[in-house]
Amino acid sequence: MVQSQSGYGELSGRHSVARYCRPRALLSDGRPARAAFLLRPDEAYLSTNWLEYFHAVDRPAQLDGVRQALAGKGFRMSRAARFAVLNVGAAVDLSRDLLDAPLRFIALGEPRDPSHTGIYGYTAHHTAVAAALAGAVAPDGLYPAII
Amino acid sequence: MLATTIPRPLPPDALAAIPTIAGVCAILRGWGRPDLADRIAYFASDADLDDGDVPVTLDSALGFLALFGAVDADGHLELACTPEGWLCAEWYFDDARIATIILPNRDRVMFAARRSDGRFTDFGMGGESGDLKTVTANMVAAGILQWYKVNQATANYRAATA
Repeated sequence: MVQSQSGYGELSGRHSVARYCRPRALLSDGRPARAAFLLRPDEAYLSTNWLEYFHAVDRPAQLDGVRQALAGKGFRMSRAARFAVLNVGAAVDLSRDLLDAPLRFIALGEPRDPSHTGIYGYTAHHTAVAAALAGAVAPDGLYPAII
Repeated sequence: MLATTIPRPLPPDALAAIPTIAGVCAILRGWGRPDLADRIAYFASDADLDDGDVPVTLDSALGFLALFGAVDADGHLELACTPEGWLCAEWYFDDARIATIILPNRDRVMFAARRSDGRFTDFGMGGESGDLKTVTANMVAAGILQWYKVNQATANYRAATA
């Protein structure tokens, strides 16, 4: 991660983030629909959680960290929801042709959830970017939100 | 092919007269797609609603009915729903093409069309949104979707109202 003076930091391509995917944004086979990565009109970034922040031994342990972080903020997760894991480098590459500037994954440095990371660089009008992000989720990159 | 007395595509006046999501689902069942009807009924329910989410809107469901009634595709159709209650229709094709149409209402849509080489096209529209008829026509012109061949009920309706 490149740490800025303000305490925020941009994640490099080798890092990964998890996106909480609501049950209604999942396809019938459990994969995330494009809708899972759409920005709302009033959103400046897409919320994700930085997995390497937790310094955990493996992916399930990293996601346990995300679950605890979200629960600690009072975020109520649905039993049918899933986390979709995105590699930063793959997501940036897949969306590169769609934008004037590459997507940026920025850890927001929130005291209550330091892993909270925003995907910046696209808007609610960039449907194809949302599609590219959904396409960047590996088949083995899906995990239950609640275990 | 399933025999049905429900015109497909649905005439605009009949579409506009559908008052409820249940009515949309009844049409889809009549067209032989109970799977889509069940999915929309789920989106209209309170099941699995996250904080701040709303059920699917009637306007979006009517937009989907207009879209689905007008087109056919070789791809596998999936439905999702945004937190705002907008339906998201996604067609997945064997050659890796993916067509996505999101319906905030029955007129305006947002879209993404991924080609088999992984690149996206905006059909020269200069953006990723447009009116439903134009976007649908562009998807058909690009060979992603096909116009649905009108069924006998539609032919009968058109003959009766000509």
